[in-house]
Amino acid sequence: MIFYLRSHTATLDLSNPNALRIFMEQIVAGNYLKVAEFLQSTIDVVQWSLSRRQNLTSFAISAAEEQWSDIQAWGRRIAEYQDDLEGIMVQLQIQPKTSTPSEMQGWKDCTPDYQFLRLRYKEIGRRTSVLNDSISALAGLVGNRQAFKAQELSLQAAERANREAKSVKVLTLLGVIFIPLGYVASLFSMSAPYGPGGEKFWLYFPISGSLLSIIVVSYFLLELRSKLIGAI
Amino acid sequence: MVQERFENYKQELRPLNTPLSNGLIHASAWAPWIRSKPRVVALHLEQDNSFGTPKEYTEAEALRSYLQERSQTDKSSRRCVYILEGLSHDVNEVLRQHFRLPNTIFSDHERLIALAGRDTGEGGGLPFLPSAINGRDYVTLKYHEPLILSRPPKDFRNLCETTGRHIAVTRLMNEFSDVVISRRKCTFWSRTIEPGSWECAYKSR
Repeated sequence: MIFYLRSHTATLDLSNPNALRIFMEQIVAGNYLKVAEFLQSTIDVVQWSLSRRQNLTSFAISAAEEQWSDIQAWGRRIAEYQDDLEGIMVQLQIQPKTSTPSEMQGWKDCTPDYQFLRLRYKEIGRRTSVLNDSISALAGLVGNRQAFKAQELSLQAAERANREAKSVKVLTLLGVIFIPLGYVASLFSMSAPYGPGGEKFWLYFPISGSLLSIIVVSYFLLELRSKLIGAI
Repeated sequence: MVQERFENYKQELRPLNTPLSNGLIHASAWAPWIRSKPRVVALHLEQDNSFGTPKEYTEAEALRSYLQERSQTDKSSRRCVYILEGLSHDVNEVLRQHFRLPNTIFSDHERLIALAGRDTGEGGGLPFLPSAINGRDYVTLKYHEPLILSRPPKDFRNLCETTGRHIAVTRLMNEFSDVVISRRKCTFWSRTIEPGSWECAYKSR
């Protein structure tokens, strides 16, 4: 400020102290312009990262959610900057309209600067809102892709289960054919007098009947127990 | 001792600043200048419309003596600019008494938020109506200064340790940017003593 006062006051109307306020107004406007450039470059970086892609496989859903959250913060800050600009324009009694070239009075008049900045921040706010919509859509696309992947995995698992079921069917069929053959072979391989046609062959029926009854009763008791446990 | 003076300072501002009275103000939105040193630079406009050598004052008593000495000079030739930074309660009191400044010029300059109790603790809002500020002899402009740090910040919430300024951090593509934005305020006050004789002050936060 000392530098500006000592170097650039020659062209000011020094009979009015408010003429010296121009340096402060210019510094403030310059800072708002720099912040606007920073915000625009930030938006450009995010939009650039979303463009020229063949697919979105590199975007994790957590990254999309984080970007969405960051853009909410940008929107909030841009609204604050717009509020502060409007507060400055109210205090400096600057109308919220665009000055025509004939209305501009050179570097000593900051009115066009603040009018321009107000429109600039309005445009940045609009771009942020559009970016917010894009990121929301991105989160939806990424979520759909993840759901599609989960469905693909489920389909593969179902196909595997189907193939296993077919294998089991073949094994069952083999069992149906060979188990009776094996039974008959073991029956006729029993030695006398317990084999078919022997004196004591009749013992086969009560022994095998008892064993079969024990097995069937045990099976049903276990089933009943499982059902009771499930009901509780 | 510094904290005690700060509490006294807040006590005096309370009737003019409801958030302070309610004690609801968020610490991150209003930090005292407990480490910044007060500085007042005086510049005088000579007859040939050039500014003389700046004179700097950091103590309230030295400033008081200087201002009293200046008030004895011929008012018709007095054109003075004062640049104020990092003010303390004592220096504020000297300035307020000498220039007959309203208390609102200090509270408006220090207050960053319009309403208390915000969870964000951050600034924004328009705390005045156009008709209420019409005819004021000062303006307080809130602005935002982009800064580049030597290393990126590690957290969203940051305050300048010296000035208490809130530092806004931007996260971009999962990384904190080394460009931060500091909330600042500047105030310009002026008064005309006689035709061709005036005093004005720039105050920054």
